[in-house]
Amino acid sequence: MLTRLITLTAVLVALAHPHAVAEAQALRALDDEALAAIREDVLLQRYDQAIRRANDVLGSARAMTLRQRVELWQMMAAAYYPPDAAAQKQDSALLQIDALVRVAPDATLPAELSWPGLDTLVEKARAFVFSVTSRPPPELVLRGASQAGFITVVASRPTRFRLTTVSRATGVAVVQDSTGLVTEAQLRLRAHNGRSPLIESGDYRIVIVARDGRTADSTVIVHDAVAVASDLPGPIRVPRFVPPTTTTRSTARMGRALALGIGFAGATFAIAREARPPGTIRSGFGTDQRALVVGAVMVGAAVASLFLDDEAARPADAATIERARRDYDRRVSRAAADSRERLADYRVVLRIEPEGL
Amino acid sequence: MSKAVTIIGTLFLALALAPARLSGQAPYGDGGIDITVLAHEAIVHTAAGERLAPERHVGQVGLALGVPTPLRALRVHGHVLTSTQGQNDLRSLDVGLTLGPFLARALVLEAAFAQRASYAPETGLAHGRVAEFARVGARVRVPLGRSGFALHVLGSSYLATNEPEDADDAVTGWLGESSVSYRVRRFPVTAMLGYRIERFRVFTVEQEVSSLTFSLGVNMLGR
Repeated sequence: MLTRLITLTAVLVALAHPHAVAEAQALRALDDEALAAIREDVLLQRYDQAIRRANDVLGSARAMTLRQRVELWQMMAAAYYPPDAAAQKQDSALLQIDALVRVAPDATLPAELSWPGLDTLVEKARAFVFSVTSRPPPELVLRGASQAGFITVVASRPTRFRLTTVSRATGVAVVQDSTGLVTEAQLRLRAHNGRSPLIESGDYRIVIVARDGRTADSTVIVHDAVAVASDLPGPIRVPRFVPPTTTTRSTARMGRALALGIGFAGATFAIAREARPPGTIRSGFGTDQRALVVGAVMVGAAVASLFLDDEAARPADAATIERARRDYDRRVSRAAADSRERLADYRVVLRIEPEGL
Repeated sequence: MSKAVTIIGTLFLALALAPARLSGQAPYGDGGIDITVLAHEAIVHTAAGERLAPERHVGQVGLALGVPTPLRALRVHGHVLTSTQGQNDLRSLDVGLTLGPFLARALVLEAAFAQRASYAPETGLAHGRVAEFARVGARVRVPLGRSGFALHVLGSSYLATNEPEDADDAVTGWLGESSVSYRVRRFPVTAMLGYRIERFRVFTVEQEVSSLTFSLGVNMLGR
């Protein structure tokens, strides 16, 4: 029974899906047709009819694309503020222009709608309304530390921008780029800074903070993004430079050790025999063989120290050290080049959601 | 006197030959506390006037301790040696201070209060009393590079601590010791082999003790 129910549901979903897609396409086509009609009304100076049609279209604004909205507000502004002074409704026109500037701060009027009075009104609105927008491409491909991707940002007036990526998994925020006071900029996104990755596989929020240069008001634009990264190159380990030493042992040092051994052995013998005063006790003693044993051990220790004393290794001569240094520098250069090549293989594909919050 | 000059000359010759980089270590470590087990194989000769006692072989065991003080150059040291042949036989106690190292960190001065008792039961030259005296001396320690081996020479003189009622009660004597030690690298254990000879006179009895010395020490809390 359950299996039959699931099958039926699947069939219904399969039947319903193409229908829903077709309906959405029809809705979009309708808006384009309506926009064309409104444009015709404006160009034929049927402003009231154009405004009426536009208000009807606004009822289906959810289905409109950004381009369609911009187009609609441009035409409504032109309908409310035509060259004919008697037909001008400036306040209503300004409302449309404000809406236009908010979604497209750099928007201008198309040539067929433009006239000096309306252009002035647009510039006036742009001066009063602070708005910013970002236009990220749907997908960015970033490579290593050199190949960056860019997100275009536009503001209605001079603004400072800062672009930050925030990992949803770790919460780590990385400031990727920032600008001074500009009205338009290409904010840079990098996958790697040469030392560590800035973007790895996972979900991200791309946060663009725009700070108005005039009022210091801030607007935040957030894009959701998904990063798919290749494997990170492992670190290249460069051994530290160790100045070469020569294993030739210092003759003077060896001689000193042997002399010490013999000297102390002699001291032992002197203590055992020569240092003792003559007298009745000594006459019964004679030479103590144990002192000779200790002296022999001392000499043996001195000989052993020739092999065990690692201080005997001396630094190599200056020319050898210089050769070793040059060789080391070459190895470091090769490692650095290798590291750059491997880093360039680090590739991140960043898919960015077009709609920001 | 000429013999003493020979000893001092030998010590300074050893110093002159010492390498420039001498490490200043306590006898068994570098700072910290030294605990050392001592074992001496001694041959004792005793005489009173013209009378000689037979040669005696005596084993001695003991313990030595070295402790640092707040003054870096000053350490407290002491040792106890007792005979393996009974309590009334050759035994000694030594408690004092070491000062140093000086002279390229090779020379350490020692001063100690000492007690000594000896007993020679077969000879009739016995003196069961304990003699007290002061001991002053100098120890030279020369490491053989970083091999772990070091060579030591110690010379001490015995001095009376009070004015004796009888000239025969005055303690006189000296001590000479020469040894070689080996300390395991990065492990604070030192083994030492040495030869030691002591000439001692008190209560009309003259005694010479020559010993083959062994010791095994551990250094704690040192560098």
